[in-house]
Amino acid sequence: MKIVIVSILALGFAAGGAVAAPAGGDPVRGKQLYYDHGCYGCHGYGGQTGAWNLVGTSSPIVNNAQAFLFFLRQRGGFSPMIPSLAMPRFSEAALPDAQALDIQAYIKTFKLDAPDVDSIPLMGQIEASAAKSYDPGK
Amino acid sequence: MSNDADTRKLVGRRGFLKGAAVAPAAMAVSAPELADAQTRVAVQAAAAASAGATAVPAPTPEQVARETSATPPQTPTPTVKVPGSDLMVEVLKRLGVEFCTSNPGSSFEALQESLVNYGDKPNTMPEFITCLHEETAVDMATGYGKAEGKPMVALLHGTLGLQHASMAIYQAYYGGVPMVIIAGRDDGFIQAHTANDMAAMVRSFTKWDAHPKTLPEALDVLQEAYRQAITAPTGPVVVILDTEIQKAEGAGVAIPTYRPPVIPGIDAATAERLAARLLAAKNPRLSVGKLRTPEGVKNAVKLAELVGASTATQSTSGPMSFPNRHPACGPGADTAYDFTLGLESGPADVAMMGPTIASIAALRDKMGVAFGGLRASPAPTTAPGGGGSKIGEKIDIDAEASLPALIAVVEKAMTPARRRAIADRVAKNAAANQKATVEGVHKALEAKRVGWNNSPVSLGRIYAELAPLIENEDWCLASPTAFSGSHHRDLWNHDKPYSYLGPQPAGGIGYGAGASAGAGLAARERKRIVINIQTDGDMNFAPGVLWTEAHHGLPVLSIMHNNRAWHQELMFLEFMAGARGRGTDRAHIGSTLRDPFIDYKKMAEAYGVAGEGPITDPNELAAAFKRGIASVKAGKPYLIDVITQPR
Ligand code: HEC
Ligand SMILES: Cc1ncc(C[n+]2csc(CCOP(=O)(O)OP(=O)(O)O)c2C)c(N)n1
Ligand SMILES: [Mg+2]
Repeated sequence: MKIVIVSILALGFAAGGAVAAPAGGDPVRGKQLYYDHGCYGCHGYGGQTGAWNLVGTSSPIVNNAQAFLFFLRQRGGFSPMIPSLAMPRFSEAALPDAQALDIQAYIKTFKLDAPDVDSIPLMGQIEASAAKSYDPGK
Repeated sequence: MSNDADTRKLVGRRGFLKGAAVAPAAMAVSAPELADAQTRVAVQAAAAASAGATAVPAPTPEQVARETSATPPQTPTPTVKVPGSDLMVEVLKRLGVEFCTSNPGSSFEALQESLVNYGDKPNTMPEFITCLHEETAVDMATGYGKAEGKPMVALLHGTLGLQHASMAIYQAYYGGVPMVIIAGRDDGFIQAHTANDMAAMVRSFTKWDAHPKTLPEALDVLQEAYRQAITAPTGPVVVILDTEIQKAEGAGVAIPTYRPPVIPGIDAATAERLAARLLAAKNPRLSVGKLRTPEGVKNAVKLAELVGASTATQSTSGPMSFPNRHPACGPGADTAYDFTLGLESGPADVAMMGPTIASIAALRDKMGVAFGGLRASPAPTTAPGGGGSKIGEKIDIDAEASLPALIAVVEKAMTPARRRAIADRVAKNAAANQKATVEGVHKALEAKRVGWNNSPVSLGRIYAELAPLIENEDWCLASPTAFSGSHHRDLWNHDKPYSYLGPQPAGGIGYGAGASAGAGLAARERKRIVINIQTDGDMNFAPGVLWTEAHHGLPVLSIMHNNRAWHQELMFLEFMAGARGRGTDRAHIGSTLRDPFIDYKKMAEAYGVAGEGPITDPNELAAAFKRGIASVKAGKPYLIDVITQPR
């Protein structure tokens, strides 16, 4: 899926021409906007749960300002080139560039919170339990 | 005609009134009195009809006063030697009906009085379970029916109770959940609470209904209702019981002997043929879907062990299927199966598929409502149990009823040589399945560690924290889990027919809380605990169920999946707003539960359930869960409010 998005974005850039290089956003404002515009609804409060992980990715959509803006504007059936329609489209009128970039700045502050399975004793317990032989009497 | 025979006739309330004025002692109503009462009903009906179709008599002030004030019933109740409703309760006792969920109503005051007072051990078998909403009463019967594979009773007040309960009945129908719904009918009292054909309101989504006219008929009907409910296709059935029959003289009326239903299974020739194929196969497989009762699950396990088949199960998506960590369950040592037998499931070379609710839908849906998913044609049905998967030869017969015959033939055909070959295969499959389980769990944990320390709490973490705490408990996960990620599927050992009770049968929200309480009824006497991962939207339809849990000591541990929203709808709305280019910043309107947030600990406390929270730090979960499990094991329901990630 990701590969498709990225390659299609490349196509989109080719077709759409150059976009003025946007300035970096403010993550503090971005935090509020991430909530107000309901990004948390599908990406979780930390960008790691729900429909799509935004953390620990090298996706240009997350990391590159132009790619991010282009992606937001081309969602929700408005871009027949992008196959998944699960993420809403964000029009410039609804979410101006400056605000969108604030959100992006906030997304970039997310840190992957995924300790090693081996480092969590609870997970070891669950694995040990799965390895136990079946006892119908319990 | 003897007096006893006379009293078996339908005794009209108006007949009672008239007779009572003359002789308030025990009496039989004579034929002329009945005729008189019928004439008056007919005259009333004609008057109403001439006044126009809408001229339904409004309740009189006296009637309203009786229903809404402390005024006791004014109708003189005839003294009878044996109340008819005692006999009704006796029938239920002998059927082994454990519970009767209900919200009280005058249309069954006689039956309620018998339930609470009749018998050596009054108010047991069935025990009257007090509900704060009729939807809860039926959802509880659904939870119980799913867990036990057998009916209990939901007792409803006339047209009103039936309508409050209707969505729950609708879901029970989609799920093919066996239950007996009794609706009281009092034609002589508030007209708006009665109807000539009361069951008609729910006929298109119940399996069967009856409105007996005499006490002996009512006793037969109750037994037939039970038989209908448990016969494939299983489902909710309705019995309308008139107050007159409930109050009728039961002296001399015999309790009919119950004959269990005969549910057809495969014939001898088919049993021989299937047994031969299972035994000839080098690598046989069973594909096990949802069976009707725990007995069916037991026999499926027996068959798999006998023939050394690897097995596919649905036990992580609903009740009454094959234990998912049984050594036979899994892909087996070799996935090139040479014969797969389906038990209510595919894919399979041959599958036994019993009748589903969809097969009778057209029969019941006389108005042609054509409920989605149950339409007969032309689209292929996706009804529960139907299964869209590939089936070579489909035998339209109930699998559970067929298993005993099949097992008997297999056992007879067993030779020492066969036994040795099978034992070898069983061992290889067990090793392979064990490996698959361990690998599956490891892979699942790799996914679930993401967001592990998030606050609000990740849903994977909730299920992971619960895993070791319930490992040595007899548990039943009663709530639907799709919204909370269904993490139990990979992490928990579904070794009981009731391990997971599955989704809302027709996708209706407001079901989970009631179903969990119903599973709690089943659990209470059986030293079992119920886990309820409770979404907030669902909780708020009928939160009074918490009081029922407290009042009846139900071992239900409710863990709030509190995302402060009807989150599924919030996401839909966000997408819609986005597609229209209008932005998502107003999508929370009408789809979130904020301003103010709801305090579920206080809600629980208000209803008498101990609670704690809100918890936002995942490291606090384990201790809270331990307290919760200890509480429910001591017979006290417990609620833990956890502020969670939305999904
Ligand atoms: C209704 C659900 C939904 C909402 C609301 C939503 N998203 Fe998404 N988002 C998705 C889905 C699903 C994807 C996966 C890609 C796709 O749709 O093709 C995605 C993908 C993304 C990606 C691409 C990640 C990558 O790996 O390339 C970014 C960035 C993103 N979303 C940001 C946002 C922001 C910012 C908001 C709020 C302004 C938001 N999303 C709101 C569902 C949603
Ligand atoms: C009776 C009923 N009303 C409305 C809906 C529409 N609906 C589907 S999902 C949903 C939200 C459920 O909220 P909640 O139980 O809190 O689960 P969440 O999506 O928040 O996890 C609603 C209202 C429904 N399915 N059933
Ligand atoms: Mg919710």
